Amino acid sequence: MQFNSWTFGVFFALLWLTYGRLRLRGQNVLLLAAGNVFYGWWDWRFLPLLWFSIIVDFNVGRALGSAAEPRRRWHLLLVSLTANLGVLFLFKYLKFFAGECCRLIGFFGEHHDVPPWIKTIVLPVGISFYTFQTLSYTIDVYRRRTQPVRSIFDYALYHSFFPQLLAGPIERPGALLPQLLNQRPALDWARFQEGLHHLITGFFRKLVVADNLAALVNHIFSLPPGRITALEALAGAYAFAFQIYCDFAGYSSMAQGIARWLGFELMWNFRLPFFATSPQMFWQRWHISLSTWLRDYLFMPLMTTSPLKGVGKVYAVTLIVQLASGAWHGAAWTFVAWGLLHGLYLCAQVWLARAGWFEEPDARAGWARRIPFMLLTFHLVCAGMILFRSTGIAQAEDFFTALGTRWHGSALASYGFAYLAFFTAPLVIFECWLEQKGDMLALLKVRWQWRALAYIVMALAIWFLPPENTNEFIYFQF
Amino acid sequence: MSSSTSSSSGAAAAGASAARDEWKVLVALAVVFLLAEAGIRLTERRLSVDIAHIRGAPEVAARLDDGTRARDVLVLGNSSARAGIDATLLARQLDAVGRRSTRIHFFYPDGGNIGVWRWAWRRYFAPPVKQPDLVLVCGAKSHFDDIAPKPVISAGCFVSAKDTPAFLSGELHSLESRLEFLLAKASLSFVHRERVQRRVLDMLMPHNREVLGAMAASAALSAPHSEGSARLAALLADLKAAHTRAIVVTLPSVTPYDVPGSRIAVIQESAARWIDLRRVPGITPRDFHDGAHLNPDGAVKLTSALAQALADHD
Repeated sequence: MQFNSWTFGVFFALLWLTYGRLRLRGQNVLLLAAGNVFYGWWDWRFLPLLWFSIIVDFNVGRALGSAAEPRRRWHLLLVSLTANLGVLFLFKYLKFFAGECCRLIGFFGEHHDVPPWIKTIVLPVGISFYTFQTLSYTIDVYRRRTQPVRSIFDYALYHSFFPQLLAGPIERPGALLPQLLNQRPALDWARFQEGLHHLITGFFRKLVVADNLAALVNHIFSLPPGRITALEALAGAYAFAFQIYCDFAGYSSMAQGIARWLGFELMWNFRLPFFATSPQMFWQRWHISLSTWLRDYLFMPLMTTSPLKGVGKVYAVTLIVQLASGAWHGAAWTFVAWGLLHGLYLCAQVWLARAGWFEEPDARAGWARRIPFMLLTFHLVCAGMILFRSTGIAQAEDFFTALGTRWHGSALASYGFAYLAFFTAPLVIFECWLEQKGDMLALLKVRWQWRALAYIVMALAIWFLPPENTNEFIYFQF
Repeated sequence: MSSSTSSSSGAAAAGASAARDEWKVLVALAVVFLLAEAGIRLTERRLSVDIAHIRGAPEVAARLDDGTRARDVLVLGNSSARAGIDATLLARQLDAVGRRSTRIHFFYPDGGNIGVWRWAWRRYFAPPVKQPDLVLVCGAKSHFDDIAPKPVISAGCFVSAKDTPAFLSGELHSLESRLEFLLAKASLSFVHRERVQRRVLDMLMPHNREVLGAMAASAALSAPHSEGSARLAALLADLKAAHTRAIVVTLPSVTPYDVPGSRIAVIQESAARWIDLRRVPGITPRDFHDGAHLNPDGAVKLTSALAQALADHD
């Protein structure tokens, strides 16, 4: 069940009508049931996997609550890490590792095939997201930052809260658990207004921008090797950057809107990332729930425990974290290369700043000063997007070769840029205004007539500019 | 950048007051959508030649029953039939060999295939409409494949209210497609939104059709393919029940294609006939203006071959 499906519309309408009539306990039972139906709708066979993780981490959390001895606490945490990362490895990475091992063996003249049972492994939707969310619970309980949950049903709801179950935002126990365990505010006009804003802008990003650009991106990235021109490659990279941004930010926005109407507040996952003036700022604005997760649960522990010293430690830990971020996205060398590239960007920024050759403009600086930095950051991100979208390193190489050599026009290139401009210009104008205002919800603070006008434009575009095919959210595959 | 969560600053009095105005925003949205729906309903036939053609089907059906003694031939097809069969030439050639004068009637919605022809026939041409003397079901390549019809266009253009329960249970197997179908039954703006988009893009995008054609061609390579013929069998059974003679015509294509043996068996079992025009002497790739549609020269050659084959069958 996707947020952008009529089935979900009916599901949510029924849920919402019932939800408002229940007290806290009833609401939580309903949300837990809804989470399981929502997840099982994709493939009910993966529900036991979800519950395996729930049962393990609930019990680890309880045991951590009563364990005082540091060694025992560490062992308990290891149980959670092994169980969750083991399942993630089995379903997400085993096929890749087995394939690479066979290739390596083949390099030495021996021929081995990946065992058939490994080839049939299917990636459960949302596994990377809920694994990180559940790990943040056990780690926070281990660090004594969160009290263990007493009821398995409450924990199961934290784990399977449907608005953010499949593709985040990856919530923290400190933010989500209190909302689950305490009486939530009833829906009033302010919450309705905010939820509506999240939903309309989310649907606009997903259905109008991301899904329409998907057709162009799929076409450009399916051109035979050696045929693509520089301008086509550029159009493909720009289009994919906007596609994946609008796809994921659209999903996150819808999740926020749905949760808002149920009385919850989810974190912002994107804050106008293409207005970032440096790679570091980009990661403060892009997939914020993952980048802060990596910062708190990987970067900081590595920084405090690494035997390295000085700035070399910053470089090494940054590269490790970005490689982990790349690998989190998928089991392929392109994702590893993408993570490495972003790691290098971040290291380069630190190095240049230390050498006094890079001074990022202040957030209050004028557009004229910030635009060159924005454009540079955007193009660095787009270079990474080529790696991210390519089916293999060879295709990425072909794109970069085209960008370096085959500079001539084509019908597809002029079409691609016109298409890109048509579908992204309204969004870019809207986001420029948000950036200028410095407020993601600025539209809620203007006169209602202006908001109505903006919603009418977005709603008409959603209705009358449908994509040829409605695509699944890209991040579901991660 | 401020996150402006409603629990903090959003709870301010001014914000709460502004939030109470939100019903006006909803009313404005509803009014615009009602106007859009009314606008589409009023201008539907001007939206595209194809829609005008589909909405003209009742007029075609009425012409079958206008009391003349002519022999009525109804061609069910799509743009391949529209481009490939010259009605005037076909009628003239059939007149030359028949005892009665012949009138050719067409129903060729764009993208039509066996998934929609049956429902369209039941909606517009099945009894109590006076039956044509002959129905030619014309398609090429994948047009006879058992691929489920698209719910939205089927609801808006091909499936009658009477057939809705049968269509919902027999053709649509997911809740999503059934909901789409029901919504399309209620809203014409939902049915035609892709056409609106195409018109907008045609106006604004350079090379729109050219690139869309290339994209469609690459997408077609991965499109689902089925050799089943249950829908063809159902259409032929409906025609047989209405005592209407049916001939299945396979049309030429630049890329050669096979007709599965099971499909030929279905045609024979339904007491229908098959005219195989996949290869017509004289038609070469130069007679096509794209991979699927004949140019006027090609249409003359195909029409002559079809007339000859019909005469032979008579």
